[in-house]
Amino acid sequence: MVGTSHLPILVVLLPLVTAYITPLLGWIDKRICNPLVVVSMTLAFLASLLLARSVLTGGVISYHMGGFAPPFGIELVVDYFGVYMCIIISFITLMAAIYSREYVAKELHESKTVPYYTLLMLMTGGMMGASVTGDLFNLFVFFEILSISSYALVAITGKKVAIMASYKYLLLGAIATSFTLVGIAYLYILTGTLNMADLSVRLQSVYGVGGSSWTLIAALAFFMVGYCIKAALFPLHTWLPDAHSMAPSSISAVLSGILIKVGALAIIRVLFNIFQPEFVVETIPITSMISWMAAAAIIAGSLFAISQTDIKRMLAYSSVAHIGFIILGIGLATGYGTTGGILHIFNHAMAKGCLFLCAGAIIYKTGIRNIDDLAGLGNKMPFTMAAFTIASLSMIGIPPTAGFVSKFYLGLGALETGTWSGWVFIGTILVGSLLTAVFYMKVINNIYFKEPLLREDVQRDETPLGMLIPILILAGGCVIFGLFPRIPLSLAEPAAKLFLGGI
Amino acid sequence: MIIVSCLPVIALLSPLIAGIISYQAGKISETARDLITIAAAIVSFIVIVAMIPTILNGNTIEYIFSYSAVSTLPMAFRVGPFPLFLGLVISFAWILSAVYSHRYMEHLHSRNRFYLFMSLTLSAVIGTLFAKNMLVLFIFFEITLFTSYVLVIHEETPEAMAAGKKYLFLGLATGLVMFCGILLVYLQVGTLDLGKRGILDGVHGNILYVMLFTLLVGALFKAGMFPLHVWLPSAHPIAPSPASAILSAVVVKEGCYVMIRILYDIFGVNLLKTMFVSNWLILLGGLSIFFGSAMAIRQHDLKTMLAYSTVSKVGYIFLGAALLTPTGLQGAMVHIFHHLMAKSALFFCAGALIYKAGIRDIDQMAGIGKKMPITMMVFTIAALSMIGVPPLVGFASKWYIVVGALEAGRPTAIGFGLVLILSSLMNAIYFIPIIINAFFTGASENGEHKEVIPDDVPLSMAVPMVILAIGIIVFGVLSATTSVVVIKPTVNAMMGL
Repeated sequence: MVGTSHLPILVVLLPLVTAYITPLLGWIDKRICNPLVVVSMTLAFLASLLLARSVLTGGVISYHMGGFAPPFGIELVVDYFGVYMCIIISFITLMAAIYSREYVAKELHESKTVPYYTLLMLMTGGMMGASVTGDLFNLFVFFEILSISSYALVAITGKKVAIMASYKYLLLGAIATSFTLVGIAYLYILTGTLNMADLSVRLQSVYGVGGSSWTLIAALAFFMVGYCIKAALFPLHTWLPDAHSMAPSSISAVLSGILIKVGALAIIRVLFNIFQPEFVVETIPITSMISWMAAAAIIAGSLFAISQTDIKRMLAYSSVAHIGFIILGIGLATGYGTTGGILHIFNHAMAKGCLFLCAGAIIYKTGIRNIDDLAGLGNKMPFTMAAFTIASLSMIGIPPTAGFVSKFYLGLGALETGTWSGWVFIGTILVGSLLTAVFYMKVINNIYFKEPLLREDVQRDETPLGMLIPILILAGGCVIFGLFPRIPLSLAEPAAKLFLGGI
Repeated sequence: MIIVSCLPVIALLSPLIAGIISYQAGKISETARDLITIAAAIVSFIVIVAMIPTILNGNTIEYIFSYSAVSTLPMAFRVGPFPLFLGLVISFAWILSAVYSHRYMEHLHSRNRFYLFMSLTLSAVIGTLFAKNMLVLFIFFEITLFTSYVLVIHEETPEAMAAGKKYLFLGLATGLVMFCGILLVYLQVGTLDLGKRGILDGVHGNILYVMLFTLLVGALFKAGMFPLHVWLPSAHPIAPSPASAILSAVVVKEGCYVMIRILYDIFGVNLLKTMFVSNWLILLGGLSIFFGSAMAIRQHDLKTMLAYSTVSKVGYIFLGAALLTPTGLQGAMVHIFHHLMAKSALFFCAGALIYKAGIRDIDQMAGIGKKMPITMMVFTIAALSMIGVPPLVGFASKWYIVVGALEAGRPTAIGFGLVLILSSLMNAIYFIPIIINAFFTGASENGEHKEVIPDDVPLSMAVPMVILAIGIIVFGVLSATTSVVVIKPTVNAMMGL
């Protein structure tokens, strides 16, 4: 099809070009930034949907930049997983952008408006690019774009704690970046190419050779550590709670909802697109190692979250636990498990996006951050709190919300392995789910069933409509995609099948 | 024959939609809200009644949402004889509860929320009954946990919150264990259909016991069986009385229903017989009967006593089902029916005492029979049925279970006979003194016989109680007929006879 032939580059360029236009137009009038970003993200979202349609009908799309054929030219490869990520990224960013109009006007200084939207678009461009690129070095470059803009966005409030959080994030992020760069260098030395498809072909000859396989293992180790830091997989998560809780809430929603998932995407690309499934599952059982790390992440993240008093920190630790669920699914390397992990990327993005936007709305309206002070909010902000409750139930995995479906697939995947470790993993999933219930139910109980200290606290004072709409859309999505899980699964299932094709 | 019809979905959705409407209506008019709630329960009841002719003709009703599917399991509903029978009774009990709540809830707070969650619970329970496969059943089973949680903690006192916490987290934990069992079954046989009287053909070895254990844990929790009953004596009494009645009479029955579906539709009678687990399950039921009765005797709070009594009655239902004989199952079903009516009536009476006289303690009930004659008459009839006095319906259920035990073999029958005599005796120990005390002890302690003016509950509370009492007598007298017309075909369908 001619009309859709340039779509792969379009979804990357839309946010990036918007990032360059925003300061120009913002220089004339600051108020134009928000509509511009919203329109651009809507277009990117629609383009992603069109792209999904052509991938579903015509299979994987390979786009050659400037018409130069790979491995010499830069190749964009849009597979099921890439377009799936594009849809999630553009959708969550769109929601955050709609939410930002009123939120940013109050929470950020006026002079920060233009940089805020510019950085948001740069970050989105980086994430979109990372999802569709077929080139390892390109992946690195896009990762740098999204990381650096996210460091700046964490610190954008200018508060001291935020700058400290950003600094911590930057240090660990820089380590991760250099690790992945070393990994890329090693692979280039071994094969002389950086195109992912080409790499996987040329690596075939390297697997058997005794001497150089140490280089290969080292490269794999560098990639894993680097991208596990980016994905905030326990115990490499230490930057996340600070960064995600100190950022403005709309940014937290994007960071926790999708940015760490791009780390998971990179892990998937390295494990299944560059290396062969046989190599990472059997020769070097890296998948089983990251599964165990993920299991530890589920338990540890949940336990940390239980002990938090600050609502945004609690949500951030919950992200540590849930990135564990995602990586566990990927590491299981079974049909159901990987499908569950990929599906959970979508379900968690919606639920956690919704929760952070709700937390932002609470702070916007009342300034409350402490969980114990939330009493009476159920009457004060009924719609926001209803959305918060639905998203929380989705996080716990209570039917009929979307979280239940991913729990179902992850559980099946764990049992499918048929080994004793599978029983440990299903135990972890179930215990993790129960622990998640502990801290979310604490918040829900405080919201609805606790006597507020002051009577005037319970006066109806709902979130402004512009902020409420994205919250309600995301909460609605948690229920709709729980009742109709076929929709995300139509991409998640072939994606998992494509990755595991070798097994 | 399978007939496609959306009637089950209407029965499920009408309380859900009405609940949301009534929540909004309650902000304008309280009466309108109560009427909507009652109307929704009546609509559900009528819709279920409308399904009777189809089912009696030997057909099943199905409705499948093929767009809404997890893996190969669609969101599907199927109504056979057993779900229909239970749905009928439950939705009728719900109407009575809703009528009863109208006056009872007057003085309590957050009434809109109470009615909303009552309707949502009805919707979820109906969904559980009409589920076509185990996953759909589990989905509604979990929803019931959350909606009934809000009923348990209605008072929002520290004790209520503590009881609710115990209920919710134990429920979540056992639910997750059950979920694990469902996954195991699905992975082994690739189906979770509940209409085949056993889907585990070709599965051998210890995995079967793991499946049975994990699946039953969730059901036994919701049913309040010993040793998973720990939440029940604290959660049921703390809720407002109409909610206690619903929790003890209906939500507990949901657990019994799920348990019977697991035994008879996932495993099937033949497989269970080859697994030799029947005696262990019977033992568990016996323990629950004995333990519940023993604990009930020790209570002074009327509602806590009734809650412990539920633990023992659920033991009967479980025991009857675990006998794996047609008459045993028949006894279990009659007992479900009996306990649903009698325990609702008893909790309504307990609520009436709190409402009118502020009495929760058994020791304060001396002479109350003269002041509240209707309430205490209903209480007496329901209590006698609980003890198993003929011709009340409680006797019929125990009779069938005894016959079922005889069918199962001599050792079982002797063991069960002992349990039955002992527990009936214990039931008598905790119910009879209350009745004697209420009717035959003077209210005044210094020997004067003051005239007590009857001052009973308002009509809208008295009518549901009286209907239940009449039901207990009528169905007791007619038990032979009803069991032939209703229960026997249901049992035959369940056992594949």
